[in-house]
Amino acid sequence: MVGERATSLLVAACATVVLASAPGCQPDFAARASSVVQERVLAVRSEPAEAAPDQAVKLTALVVDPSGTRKTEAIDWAFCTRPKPLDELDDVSIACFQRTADWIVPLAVGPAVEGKLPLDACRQWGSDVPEPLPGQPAGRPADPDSTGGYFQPERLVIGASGSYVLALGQTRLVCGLPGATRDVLEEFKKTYTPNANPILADVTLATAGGAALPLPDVDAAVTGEPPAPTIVHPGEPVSLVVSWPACDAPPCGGAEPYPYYDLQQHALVARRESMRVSFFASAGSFRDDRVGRGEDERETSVENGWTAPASADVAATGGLVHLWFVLRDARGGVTFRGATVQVQ
Amino acid sequence: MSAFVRTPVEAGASRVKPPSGARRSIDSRTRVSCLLVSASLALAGLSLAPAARAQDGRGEAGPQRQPQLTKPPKMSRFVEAEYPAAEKAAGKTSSVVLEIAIDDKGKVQDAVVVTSGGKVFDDAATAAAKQFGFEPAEIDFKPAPVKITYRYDFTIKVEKAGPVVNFEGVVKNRFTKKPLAGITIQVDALPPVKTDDAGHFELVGVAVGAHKVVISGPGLATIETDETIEAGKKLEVKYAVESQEELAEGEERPDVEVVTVGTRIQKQSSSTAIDASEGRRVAGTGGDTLKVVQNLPGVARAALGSGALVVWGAAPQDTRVYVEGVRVPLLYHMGGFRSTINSDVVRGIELSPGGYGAQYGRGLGGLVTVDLRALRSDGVHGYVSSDLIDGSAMVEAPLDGKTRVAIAARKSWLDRTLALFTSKDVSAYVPIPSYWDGVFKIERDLRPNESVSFVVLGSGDTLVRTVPNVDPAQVKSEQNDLSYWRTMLLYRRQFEDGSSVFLTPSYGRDHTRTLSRFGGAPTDLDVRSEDFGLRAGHRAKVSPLLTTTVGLDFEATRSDLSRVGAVTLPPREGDIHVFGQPPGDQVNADDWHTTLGSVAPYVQGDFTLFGDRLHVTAGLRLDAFVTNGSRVTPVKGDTPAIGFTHQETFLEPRLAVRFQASERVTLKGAFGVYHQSPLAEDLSAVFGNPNLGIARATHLLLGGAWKPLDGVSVEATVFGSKSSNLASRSASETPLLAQALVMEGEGRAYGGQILVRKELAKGFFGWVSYSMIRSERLDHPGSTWRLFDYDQTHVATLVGSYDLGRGWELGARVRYTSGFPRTPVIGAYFNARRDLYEPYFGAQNSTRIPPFFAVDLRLAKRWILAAGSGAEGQGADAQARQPTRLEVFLDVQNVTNQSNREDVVYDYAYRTRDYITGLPILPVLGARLEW
Repeated sequence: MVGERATSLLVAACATVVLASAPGCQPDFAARASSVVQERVLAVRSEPAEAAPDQAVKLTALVVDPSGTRKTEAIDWAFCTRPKPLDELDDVSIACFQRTADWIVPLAVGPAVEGKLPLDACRQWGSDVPEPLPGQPAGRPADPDSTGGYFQPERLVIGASGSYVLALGQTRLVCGLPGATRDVLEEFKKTYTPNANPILADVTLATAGGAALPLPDVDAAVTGEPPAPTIVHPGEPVSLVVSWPACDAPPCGGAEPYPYYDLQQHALVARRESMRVSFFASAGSFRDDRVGRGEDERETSVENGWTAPASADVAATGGLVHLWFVLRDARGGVTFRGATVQVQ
Repeated sequence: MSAFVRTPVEAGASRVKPPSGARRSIDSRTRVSCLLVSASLALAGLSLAPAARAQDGRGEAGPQRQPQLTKPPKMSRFVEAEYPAAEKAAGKTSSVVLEIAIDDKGKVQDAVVVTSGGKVFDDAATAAAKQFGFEPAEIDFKPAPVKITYRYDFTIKVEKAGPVVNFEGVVKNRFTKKPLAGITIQVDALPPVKTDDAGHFELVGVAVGAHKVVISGPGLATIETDETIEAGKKLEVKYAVESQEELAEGEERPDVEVVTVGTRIQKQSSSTAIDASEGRRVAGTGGDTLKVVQNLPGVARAALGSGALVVWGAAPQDTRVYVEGVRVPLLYHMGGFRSTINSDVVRGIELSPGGYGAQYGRGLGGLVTVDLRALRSDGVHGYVSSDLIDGSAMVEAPLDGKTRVAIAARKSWLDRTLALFTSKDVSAYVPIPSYWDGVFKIERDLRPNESVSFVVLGSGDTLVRTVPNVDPAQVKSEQNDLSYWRTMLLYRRQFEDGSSVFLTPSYGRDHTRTLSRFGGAPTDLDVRSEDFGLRAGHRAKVSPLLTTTVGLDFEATRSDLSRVGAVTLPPREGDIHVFGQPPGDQVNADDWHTTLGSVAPYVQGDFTLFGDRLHVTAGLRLDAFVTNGSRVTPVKGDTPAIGFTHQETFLEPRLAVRFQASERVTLKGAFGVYHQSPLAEDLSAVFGNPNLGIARATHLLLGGAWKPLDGVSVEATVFGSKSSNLASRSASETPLLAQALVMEGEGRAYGGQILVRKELAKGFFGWVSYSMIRSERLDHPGSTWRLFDYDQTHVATLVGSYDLGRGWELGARVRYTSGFPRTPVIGAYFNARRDLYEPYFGAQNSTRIPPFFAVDLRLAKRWILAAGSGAEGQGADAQARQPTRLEVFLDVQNVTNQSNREDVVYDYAYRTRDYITGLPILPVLGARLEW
């Protein structure tokens, strides 16, 4: 995140004539990742968060627009089985976003779907050696991410001709270890617990000098009236605290410890997940777009500032502002929550 | 045929001798001379034109004052009359007396015969006289038209048999153009001669062949150069040296650097050589001679914050840099602020964009050669210099009569001075390198014409920055370390027959580490190398028409490498990405070792034909490459590593032709085949391909040079190059094991360049250059040709420096270049796992960054704080002592505060596009004290 503080520093730097620096000056873009001004996908959750090939998973997306969470959005879901060439720098090939192709395995259309992970997922996306082409030697296995994970990509397409919203979901795969000895592999199997999605324990809002008020999850209200929105004043700065449970042993909804296969040392190393919270709002502005805790930090919450919009900015919605909080762990687990505040 | 002679090498630098006493034998048989009766143009032969009288009459009352000739006209241009052939054959001689009318601009308006010598002689003399040029006469201190009488003698003289003068020349101060008297010229073991008051010297009966010429004298560090005497010809030269002659009050001695011009051997067919003293004065270089390479034709402007050298569309790593024949890994420090070699030990730098000779190889692109200067033997000298960017110092001194030593060092402090003007956090966003470099040199004369030097070069760069963030996935940190050492022994010997040998063994170490982290994704590339080198050669003139060079060029590099991170980071040329795009988080790791070596014997013959008008330089280089590595496949369990060794040998023909079409026009052409080993970094079984082979390139160039005026040259070159077997990323969706890179790339570059250059004279030098270059790549068979990432189609540069007098000097540089190609983003998708948008792209490199334009100025003022002693006979310590001088300079980059766009950036969702802009106006104030 390049927050406002960083941006102002850059501007200050560029204004200094004696800045004999290499990179010159960066422009200041008005658009911020935390502002929801049009339809967007904010998160995609796989349940379970980590699964083996051929295992069934439930996939859910958080789709929002300035009017709130779009719970019934028609999302076109599909698995992609086409590996990415090494000369493309993105996570997946852009070919995965085609509507139909040999490498597209359609799932369903809807806000959430269920399906089985492809049987050869670890060959296509994991540590297993890919099936050699006729007459060719063995192929190159995929590289793991920085937590040792491999992921089966799911492509999401929202909308019809002309206007698409494209998103990529990824389910962590239970695969082997690349190049590990038998002993290390056995130790890994004994000690590794597949990742669990984190749990968003609590979200509170506090005004200056005021008590912290819990922000109820408006999207969790399946039946009945949604909870009444919390009231804040126009332009009022508030403090938002998002927390998750502590975790000593997996599986759990907090920062889980896990064994990591160090590719340089060819040995298992104990690590703990980092946690990060992404903040979104239909109006107003956050101090930081995202806040998190590193692997070495044991705190189970983060705090962020949010300034309520002026009345005129939310007149069209009667002062109602939608907020979303997405909690991610380092291994691909995710959970999210929506809330509303009334600016008056 | 003429007594008024020109130097053979530098036609534009012809010198006109005073008409009287101008006769000098140049031919062993017959000679035609022209005698000027009125050679001195004395007043006795001069009559004032009526117009001049009228001009002086101002209509004042009283007796009119007679106009006074306050300055006679002085001949500035003499044209020899053509001796009538029939009369010459018949042995007839004659004299013609002319009256020449000269206008107030010094131009000859008319020439009429006063005393005839016969019609054919009259016509020849009149035709020649009308082409004379004069400095105008002055009447009452104002330019005025005059008439003079002039006698032209046509005589035939038979030269005496026996030894004749076959080597003569003149030594002048390079800047003041004043002749230097008392300078000793020694040719091999012949008795030395001294220059006369006109700076002139001559030697009789110098043996045919190559000779070593040593120039020395008061206030002059001894310099050496090679000259070749040919049978039946007289070699005439001009040496322009920078002396330390005593200066008049208020007059500044420009520099202590000693250079030779005019006799410098042109080593490559297409090259631009810059003397150290000129390079230091170019605006925008901060006084760094070697940075001037960035302003030469054929060189693309480096991207902001980069010191990469892109020559004729070749990749930066394809252009090799040599110091005294020893390869160094980089010419510039990180960010391109300074060169890694102290300018004060550099005699000159030469850039050969392509088509170079057989002495060098292993590079697909251009060649940069840096020559170190000889150390001074006339006392202790040195300098201390400082500006906002860095500080440096140097000391040199003779240890005894035969041994001299020098040490120089530089340390940057921009990272600290920046903190004085900005908050500490700013440096986290700005890559400000910290660097140092140093040079140690000791040289000893073993015997006459035999010397040995030991040189140590060192350089180190460190760049550390961290961009903190409350989101651990957005924390960015970066550390780059780059250092190298080179030690070399330089042995040189020149034999009495003019042949010479050289031997240069070298050893060095390199260390490069790139450590970065974007969130949880690390990148760590560590390369430690040992470099061994040996260069040896023998040069001799085996016949009047042929000079040969036989040599051996050996180089080997053993590297230990370690890498962790994404295959795609750092990006390679050809990778489609945008500035600021978060790297992929898929990582891997590998440790491996490589040894890359090459032994290349070569032979080169320089054929001199048609009376020195045609030079054909043909070379052959046999380059045997060995590639050795520790691992051919990635680590798998306990499986032991299997190493590999590849050996490939190539015959590389090189050909260069230079034809002197006329006195002022030279045509040239060159062709060469070049090969290059893969990079050690690319031989990883995980990140690269251990089976990468040797890349190949061919260069072809054609061009010409024209010298329309003395000291002005116009040089144009067109070229084409093709390369193959280039490493590129595998485009396969299922790449084979240990084949992340494949050897399928091809390259081509073509274009032309023109350079108009004014050599240093009367305090001014400069050049204008324009290059139009197209460089393209084909990544894989079947794909389409695309623009090379570093392609800069148009590069125009204007450089000038003028000595304003009284120690003031003003320099300017104007640059215009095309922007680098970029690939447009046409959309983006949301990557929900990483919580970021990832772009997808249109046609590769189908757009460009807008053009770059900048004007830089350099203003310098020098003071003499303590006068030097130039007197002879005051003891060795007192001889030619250099004055202590202080120079203060202001180097202002981008004086127009142009907002140049350096790269394209997008907002977080790739919906809005904008540009990173370059430096605003940047004044750098510095000072230099030298003694």
